[in-house]
Amino acid sequence: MLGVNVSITGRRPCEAAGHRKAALRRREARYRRMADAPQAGPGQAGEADREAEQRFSRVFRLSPDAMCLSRGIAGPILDVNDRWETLFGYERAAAMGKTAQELKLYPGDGVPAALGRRNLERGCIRDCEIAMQDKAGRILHTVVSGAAIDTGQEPCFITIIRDATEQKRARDEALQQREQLTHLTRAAVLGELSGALAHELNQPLAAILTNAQAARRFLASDAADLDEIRAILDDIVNENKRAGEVIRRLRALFMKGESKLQPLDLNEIAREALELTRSNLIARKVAVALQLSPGPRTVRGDRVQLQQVLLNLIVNACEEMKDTAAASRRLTLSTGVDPAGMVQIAVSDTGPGIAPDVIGRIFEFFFTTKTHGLGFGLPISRAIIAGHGGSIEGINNADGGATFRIALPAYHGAS
Amino acid sequence: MSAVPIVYVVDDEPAMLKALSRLLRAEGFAVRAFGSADEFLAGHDCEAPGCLILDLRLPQLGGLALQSELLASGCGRAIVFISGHGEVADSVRAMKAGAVDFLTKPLDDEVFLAAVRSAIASDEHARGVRLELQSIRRRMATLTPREYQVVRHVVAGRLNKQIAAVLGTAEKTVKVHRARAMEKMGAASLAELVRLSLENDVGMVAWKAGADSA
Repeated sequence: MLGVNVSITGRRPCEAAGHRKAALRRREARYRRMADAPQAGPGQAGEADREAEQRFSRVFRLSPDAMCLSRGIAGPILDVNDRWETLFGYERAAAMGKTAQELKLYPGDGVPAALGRRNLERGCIRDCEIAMQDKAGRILHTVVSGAAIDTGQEPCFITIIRDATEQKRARDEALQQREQLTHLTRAAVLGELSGALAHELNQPLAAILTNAQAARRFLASDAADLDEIRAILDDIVNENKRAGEVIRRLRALFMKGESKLQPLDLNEIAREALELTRSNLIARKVAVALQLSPGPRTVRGDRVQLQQVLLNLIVNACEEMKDTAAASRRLTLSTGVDPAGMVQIAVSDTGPGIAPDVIGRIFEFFFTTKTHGLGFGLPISRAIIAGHGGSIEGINNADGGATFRIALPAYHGAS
Repeated sequence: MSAVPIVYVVDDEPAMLKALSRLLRAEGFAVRAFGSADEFLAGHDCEAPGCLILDLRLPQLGGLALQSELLASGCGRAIVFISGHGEVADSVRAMKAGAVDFLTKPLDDEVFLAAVRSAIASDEHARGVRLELQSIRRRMATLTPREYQVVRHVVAGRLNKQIAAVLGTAEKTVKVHRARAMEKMGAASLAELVRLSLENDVGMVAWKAGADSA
């Protein structure tokens, strides 16, 4: 009911990228074979040579990927194909003799590191994601492969550029939508809970108010009917108890609910939670350190509920660091085992920490330090953790910021 | 209106029903409380002056359904709706169907009692209008067909001479019919006859009996 499972959808773009890359690799290998053809058979030079050259030339011209032949990886351009012209917006004639750098094909200063010396020495680059820009200055997200080839006359480098701008945009959009969904789910859960709470409590509260107001009016009359007032007070007490019962029942309902307990690896839960909040963290310029304890840290719990707790802590941490200098915004997610054998998971931030005067109240319902906070996140988190037989605490770090640490009983199989 | 107005209260929540009855009694109202729409319909007297405090959410027959049932049976009882939620759509429906007010629980006693008083006043007014209309209809029914025809022409602004021509009768005869019709309707002037006829047609009363003499 709480979370969104995204790990499966998250894998899709990678698979597609994998296919794409494999195809590119196959094509590249083909080009290399063609390029290498002249050396293949010394016996039948001449005719075979020209044939291979023509074949290469045709493939080069018609390739659906942009291709560029240059002297060395960063040297002057010897030839480009039609797709290259349309992708970058330069005419072939204008590109000839210039280097990629001179044409400002790389948005930053200099040649991207991926095309650097080490790859040059290996003689090939493969599936490098590189940001490039066209003549108009539009940034292109490209996947670049290339290899040194010997055309017989001079050592050349052939670069194959696949435009992935659209795919990247789609991927970014998917991430953003996923984040919105997470947020909406959270909002919906809180809205539902507060709605239920409001409705259930409203009836007894309304009766209490009307009873009290009636009593006040009875008392104001000359001959106050004490029996009537006594009956009213009895009813107020009863209704008050009923309101208390509503809260108790709601809490029990929330805790037992439909929770499905199963063995879970907290390391996995931590990774999933980060995956869910990745774009949020990037957007907020928060650096992430993942310090996972080696080996699975298994507990018995409800995946969705624990996810929800972790998401809540991560979002809180980001919120806490919004006034911290971007360079020092760091979120640390760590797992481990405490001396008592409890499995731990902790979320630390480099924000201002918890104010000493509120540190005892942060787990109370309706208590919040945020302008738009509801005061639900931490108390619900604590209720969930308590329901798992664990505990949660919020402390200030010695070197600034706050840490929320969850301890859960370790699970050692179904014995 | 000499009879004491009765405040009918319908709420399925016993605690709330009791509390509301107390508040109303503390203010000196005569109260009749019901836990469901069916019980109310069984014990309700539409002729009695007063108003109805109606919970929107009732099991079986809901508040809005009860309102339309009362209207369908020709009972224009003034209603104050109370609701635990304050649904906008429902409140609009209730108000369009003539509810006096729509209040959200918990109720503020001042606001609630003001709504009850205004509902009782509106009920009394509507009752006066109904009686006046009934009286006009009764008087209208005593007219002969010829007198009624003459009245229609008079109200349409025609002169006796014109009416006589249309009806193919003497002007003197028209004058006699007209005088008798005015007498039967209790109209002291032409203007009053026009008003009574109009009120009868429209089914509304411009001002209540006695108000014009005051």
